[in-house]
Amino acid sequence: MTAAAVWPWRSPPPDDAEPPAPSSTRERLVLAATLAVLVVGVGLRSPSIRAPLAGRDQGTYVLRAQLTLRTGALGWTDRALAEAARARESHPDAPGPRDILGLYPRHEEPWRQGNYESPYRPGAYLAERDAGRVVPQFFHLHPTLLAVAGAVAGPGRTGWMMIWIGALGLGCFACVARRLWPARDGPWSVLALALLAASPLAIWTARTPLSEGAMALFEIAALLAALRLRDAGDEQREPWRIALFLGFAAFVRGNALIVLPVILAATWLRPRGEDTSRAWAWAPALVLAALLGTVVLHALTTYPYLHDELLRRVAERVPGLEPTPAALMGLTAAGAGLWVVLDRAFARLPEGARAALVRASVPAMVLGTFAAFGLWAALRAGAPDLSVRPFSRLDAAPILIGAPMLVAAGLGLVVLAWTWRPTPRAVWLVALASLVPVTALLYAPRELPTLGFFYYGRYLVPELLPAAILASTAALAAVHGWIHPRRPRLAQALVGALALGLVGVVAAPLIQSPQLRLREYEPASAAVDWLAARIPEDAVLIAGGEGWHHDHTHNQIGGALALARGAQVLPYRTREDAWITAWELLVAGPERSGEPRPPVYLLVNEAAHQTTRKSDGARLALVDDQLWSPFRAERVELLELFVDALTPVGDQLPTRVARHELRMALIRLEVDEDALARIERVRFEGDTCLRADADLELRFEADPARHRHLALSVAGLGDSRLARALPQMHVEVDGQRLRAEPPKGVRGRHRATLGPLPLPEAHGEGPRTLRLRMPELEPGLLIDDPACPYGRVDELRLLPRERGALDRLAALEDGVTAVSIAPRDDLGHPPKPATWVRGRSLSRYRAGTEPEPEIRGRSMVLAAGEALDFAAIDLPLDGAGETHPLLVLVTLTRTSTGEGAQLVLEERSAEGEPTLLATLDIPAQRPRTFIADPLAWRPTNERARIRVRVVDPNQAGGEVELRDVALFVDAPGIPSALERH
Amino acid sequence: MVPAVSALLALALAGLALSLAARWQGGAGALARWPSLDFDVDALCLALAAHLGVVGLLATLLAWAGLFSAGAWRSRAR
Repeated sequence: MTAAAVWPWRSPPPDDAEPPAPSSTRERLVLAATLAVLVVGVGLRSPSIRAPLAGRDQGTYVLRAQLTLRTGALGWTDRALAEAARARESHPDAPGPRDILGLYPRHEEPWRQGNYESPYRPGAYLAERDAGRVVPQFFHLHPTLLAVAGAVAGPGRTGWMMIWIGALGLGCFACVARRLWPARDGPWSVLALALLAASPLAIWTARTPLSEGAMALFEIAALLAALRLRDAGDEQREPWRIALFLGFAAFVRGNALIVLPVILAATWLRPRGEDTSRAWAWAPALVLAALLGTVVLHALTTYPYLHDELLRRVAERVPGLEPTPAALMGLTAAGAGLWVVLDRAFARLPEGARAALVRASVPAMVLGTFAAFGLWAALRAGAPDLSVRPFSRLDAAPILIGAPMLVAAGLGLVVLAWTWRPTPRAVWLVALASLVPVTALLYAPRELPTLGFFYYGRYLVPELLPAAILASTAALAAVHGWIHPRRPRLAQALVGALALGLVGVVAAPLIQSPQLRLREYEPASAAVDWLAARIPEDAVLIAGGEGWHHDHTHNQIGGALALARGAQVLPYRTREDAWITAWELLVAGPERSGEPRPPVYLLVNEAAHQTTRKSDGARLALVDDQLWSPFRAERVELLELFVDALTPVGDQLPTRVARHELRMALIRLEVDEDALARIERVRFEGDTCLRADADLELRFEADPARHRHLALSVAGLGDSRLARALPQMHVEVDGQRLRAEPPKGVRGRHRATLGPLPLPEAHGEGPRTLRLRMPELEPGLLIDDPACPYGRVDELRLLPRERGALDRLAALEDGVTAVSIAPRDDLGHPPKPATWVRGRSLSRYRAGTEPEPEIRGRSMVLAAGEALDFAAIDLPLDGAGETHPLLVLVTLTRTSTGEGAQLVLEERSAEGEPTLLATLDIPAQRPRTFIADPLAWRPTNERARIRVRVVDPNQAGGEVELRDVALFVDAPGIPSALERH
Repeated sequence: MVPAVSALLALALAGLALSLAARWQGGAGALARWPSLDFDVDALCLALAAHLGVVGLLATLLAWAGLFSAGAWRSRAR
């Protein structure tokens, strides 16, 4: 099929063809220069950047390729979700399956069912939650091309395709330039090629496995075919070739669905006479078919991406609109029908009228381009603050294309409007040229949430950067053409200097800042390999944590393990989530099924920001190794990853390199049978139905020496959607309110189990009183059981205090491994491996903080004069059961307090009496993060209730945003061993 | 090497060879015309770009059918 597809290109010269004339010296020189620039350009695009982590688009493309290589398919099935759904069917009363499914709360709109039921993880969506059907993000052609490269060269070499695409793109662009400026007219084509070859933006985009490179290749190839048609090319073939390349582009990027209709509209003006070939008549139909085909393919296979990219705004603005895949396909088919009708109408226009429209389209497009940039400038001028969102994609143009080239390109467009008089036979060129104003218009509005280069500048690469290069070259060629007849030497000197200057401006950053070609995130694949080697195939990972970079652990590392390695990864949002998930996987599930317990791991991010200990200079990384019963760690692997990447900036080329550190612990969980036996599992007699109009009061016995936490599960949920409301249940023990969920601002989960919650201290003898009350709910959420519409209490579990794992395992040979993976080239800044210590962190993810704080970003707002009481936590103990000395690290995201303000840390007794722990001077009116020096604290109780207050004596209305309070064990810790990759 | 990918690779290489042979205006004959530089280089580039698109579409269709990998073929065969 491939051979057949390329056969149309076979057009050997006729046997009687005259040998072409020998080339002139100038032509040879131009060819030699072209080849030299091509070689340099390809060299600058090598090696490709591997992007092995999920979370950003380039990583999604690479991981999709590796997924396809591994499974042969485009999407996959989340086995944990599918199994949970099956268990819910077979055991409708069991809370555990609902807890697992509730990790991905399902949207309820009817059109979403089976199409786009829930978000999932960066790079993928849940099409059907209960089937575990996951569909990938983005169009398919680019990632499957990467997969082809992986199949040919090995799964780790998908980047070879990027080099090939980059080389072909440069080659096609060189041919375009040669068509526009033949060698006999001078070295203009070399100038254009050099500007593209040396563009730092084009180089970064070509090296990074993003789809813009492939899009640019197919659009430039279409332009080349259109130029061949202009130059009396084969009218039987060239229109098909143009259409074919545009068709390929339609399968690469979603914006093709917006720009291809414009191109198709331009083809209404094509020649229609009897002397035109069938290709002229039917090639647009191929573009139309490709447009329909790509909509059908992607609506059926990655509908949520289409929804989020194209339909969300429309759906939001049209109440009641249900944009199903079928509706999308139907709408596209209707659009195709409309195109056909209008095409026939345009066919009836007189030839002269179509020719006039084609001629008029050139100044219209030039004006349109200027208008788009004018709109961008106006919106930019009206923006209150250019340093904050929203941003425009065109904001990148002055910096990444450069003001000199933009000015020259503007002049080039004027020249184009002045000199180009296309006929209907050039309609494909006109159609392709329309991409420039349309794209500029699409990119002018301020809608980008962030602006960091090069990542958010890459949108310029397929259309606007090549257009700017061609237009600026045209401007210089025109200036040369005007001056040369009168002052040939002046023309050569002036335009030569301008051309060299333009190339110099574009290429100089590569010499001044060679780090622009940094191979970003280089050792990350070694870290993924390191983790994958330690996880069995059937393992379930609960990935995330509560630390600063928990998203990276879940999204980037967890995503890489899920897509590329097939690991089952469930989200770890809070410690309570993780315990509930582990309980179902390791305790309740195997109890129900009789199956052996699967291997389950926590992949948990470091618990807080790292700090440096003054006494020995050690860089301390915090691991929260405390585990609720019945779990204990069988083994702990500590991983630190150093990666270098360009620092994203929005107002200049990203010439600075930032070193990112990501630390996490891989903890193999096992069930401690003795601990499991010690958990009190209370089932209540009599009426245990929950109500909204009255408290359900239950009494239970608890041993203060043994029972420190409680977890509560609810049964009888049937087919209801009640699990979404259970986390809002009012829970009291002996009159003290217990909160099961973190403060508002953290995305909620649906669940049938609450806890573990700290069991309040008993203030007397006798049974404890548990009071439960559901909130008033809409009838649609309730169970179809008039006697018990809010469900019934299934089980109360009373757990002992939490236990740490690290000290015990560190004493064993091979019980704990700590590795720091760093780039081989440290850029003159050797990384310093961390020392891991145990500890806890109090952040917005902790449930039970009183009063419930306002959440701003990732921080809790604490006003001066007020206090935050964190729920009780178990402190790490040493082997003798004694508390460790601690270093307390407070991080504030922002302050608006005055001079002399202080943050007061106190420890509350069980009765609520505060004891001063430490005070901390707060910097006044600080707009950015403040990490205080660590404070030493020697706790006397093994359970801590921390209170934080702000005192601001000199100002009213001040507040701080508290990121977290971290408690580091001040002990030698576990040093990490450095490995370079 | 797995059947689907082997086939795809074979097609890819065949197409590439065909494109090169066809576009170099007679293959070795082009050398005889040296120092003329009038090779149809842009057609060669177009052929290679088209080749890439066709390979990508084929791979997409294979993956849509779930047949891109060895495991998929083996499980389908079972």
